[in-house]
Amino acid sequence: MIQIENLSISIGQREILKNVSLNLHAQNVNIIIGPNGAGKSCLLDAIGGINLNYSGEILFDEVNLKKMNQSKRATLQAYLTQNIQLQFPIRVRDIILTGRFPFYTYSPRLLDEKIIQEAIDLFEVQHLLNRNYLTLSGGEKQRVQFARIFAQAYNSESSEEKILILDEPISHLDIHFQFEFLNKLKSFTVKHNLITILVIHELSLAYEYAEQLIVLDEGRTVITGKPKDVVSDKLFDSTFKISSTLVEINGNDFLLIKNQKDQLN
Amino acid sequence: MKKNILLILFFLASLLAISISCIAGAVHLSFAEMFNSITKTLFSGSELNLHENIFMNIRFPRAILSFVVGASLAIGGVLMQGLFRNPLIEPGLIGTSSGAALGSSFYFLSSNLLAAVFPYWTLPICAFIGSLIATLSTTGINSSNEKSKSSSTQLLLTGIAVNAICMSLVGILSFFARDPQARSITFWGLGSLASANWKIVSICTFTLILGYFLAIKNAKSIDALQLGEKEAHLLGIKIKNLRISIILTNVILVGIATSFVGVISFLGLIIPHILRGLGILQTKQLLIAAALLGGSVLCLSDVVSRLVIAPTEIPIGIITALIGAPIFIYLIRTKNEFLA
Repeated sequence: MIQIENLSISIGQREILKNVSLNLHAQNVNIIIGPNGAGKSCLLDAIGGINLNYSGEILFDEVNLKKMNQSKRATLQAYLTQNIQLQFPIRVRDIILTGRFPFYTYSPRLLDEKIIQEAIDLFEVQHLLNRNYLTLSGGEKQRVQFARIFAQAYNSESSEEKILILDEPISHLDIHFQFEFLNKLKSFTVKHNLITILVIHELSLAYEYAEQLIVLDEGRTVITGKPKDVVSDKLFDSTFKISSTLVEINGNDFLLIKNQKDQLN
Repeated sequence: MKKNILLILFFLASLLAISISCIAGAVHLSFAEMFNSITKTLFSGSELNLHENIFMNIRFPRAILSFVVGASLAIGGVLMQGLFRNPLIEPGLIGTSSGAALGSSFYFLSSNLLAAVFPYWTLPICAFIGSLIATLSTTGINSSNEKSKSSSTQLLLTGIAVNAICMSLVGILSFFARDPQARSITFWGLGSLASANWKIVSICTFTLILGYFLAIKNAKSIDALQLGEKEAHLLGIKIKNLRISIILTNVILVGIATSFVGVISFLGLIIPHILRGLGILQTKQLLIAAALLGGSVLCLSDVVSRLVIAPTEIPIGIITALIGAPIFIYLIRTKNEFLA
């Protein structure tokens, strides 16, 4: 479990996060949503150890993450950032292999090879392995990055928890691959005993896939909990300045959204 | 598999290049003379005749030195391009070469005075001190700036500025130098292997081996760094330590080689690109391939520099740039999946 207590972050004079407190559980997909500039990426950077200039505490299984050294942390956590840019040609296979770098010194062990192959199969990138990453399409690149990050998050001792953080992983995927990715993410999270935290902008997908939904606005948590418990008709009216409503069709809940001018309710 | 075949080819090319370099020159040497020379030196210790002497004390050390220097520069190129994630980088870009040029210019202007301080190897010592000071001030200026986080881009920009300062100081020194001194400054800036002897060869071979192992130790981290500094950090890599380690390795390889033979440009820039074009992309493989190909290319360039207008020698830096640049342009223009 990750316990975040009174997390505050300031950059210069500006307060980005204000007293955020959260509990994130293993085998749960925790989805953070919020408007641009709400502090979502900042929260991920604090949890992921990119930004350690925060006040408050982030505990992972009662260990203060601030004090954990980076090489140990890399074995317990995987974090997919946005906009990964490469300058030099690299083979796809070598990119995926970097996901296992924290676990071996000179050459990959048999276990690493096995995990790499599982990740390759999971995201169906076998045919791309010898290609130059720079020549792939945007969607292909993203699948390769998924394979890399899943290889790092792969938990070979599932009695222990690990952390998986993803910053807007599905923004560049078509709707079919968005569903497919979230399905894979959900079963991977359970199978590998992960605390999964991701930011996405697709409200209806967040509603459908989150075990815990965290709505962030102006550096504060507006509300957090199971989507069914916390999402109400008016919830997004002020945070996203839209109209939203929940509709039930054949026992399925749908979150519908509309321009704010068109009052839905 | 294809990569291993390439490595074997590069290895054979290295042997061939060194052999050609030993054979080619004003005096024709036969294989028997070369063989006798080696066995006499190693086993019997008996007196060498003129041809054997030319081989053992002029051609052979020169061939080996050109190979070792070429290998050092090419490895430096792989390291620095990897560190800065930038295909435009030459290994000397953060002050290593221009500092050496400045140090050597000081020597040419005041050799009597400096020889009193460093009685032996005055020129390489001056050049290396210059190289070290310039490189350290680049990294020093950059890391003292705590307020903004020191990124590789800033380090690079600082390097370009330090380079400009060094080169303008070289310009001032050339301006005040008398004619033969000014010529020496210019020629040193274009490189020459004429000073080769076994002592220099052993120092440069030692630094090559040391530098190569330091580089191999960081090969995996350099691969991870290609994803970005943030991503490498998330893979558990200590970026600051890595940066310092790579820069030190580069000073050991490029700084010391340059101190002995002068500035040889372009080699460290193009060798990594040629190898990537051939599909060698992993840093570990790039390092060994760069050593073999860089060594062979400089060895053959040295042959050309000796033969074109024999018995006079053209500075080798002219050959590497004049032949290397068109080949490089050709490579850039060919369609190739792996050439950035």
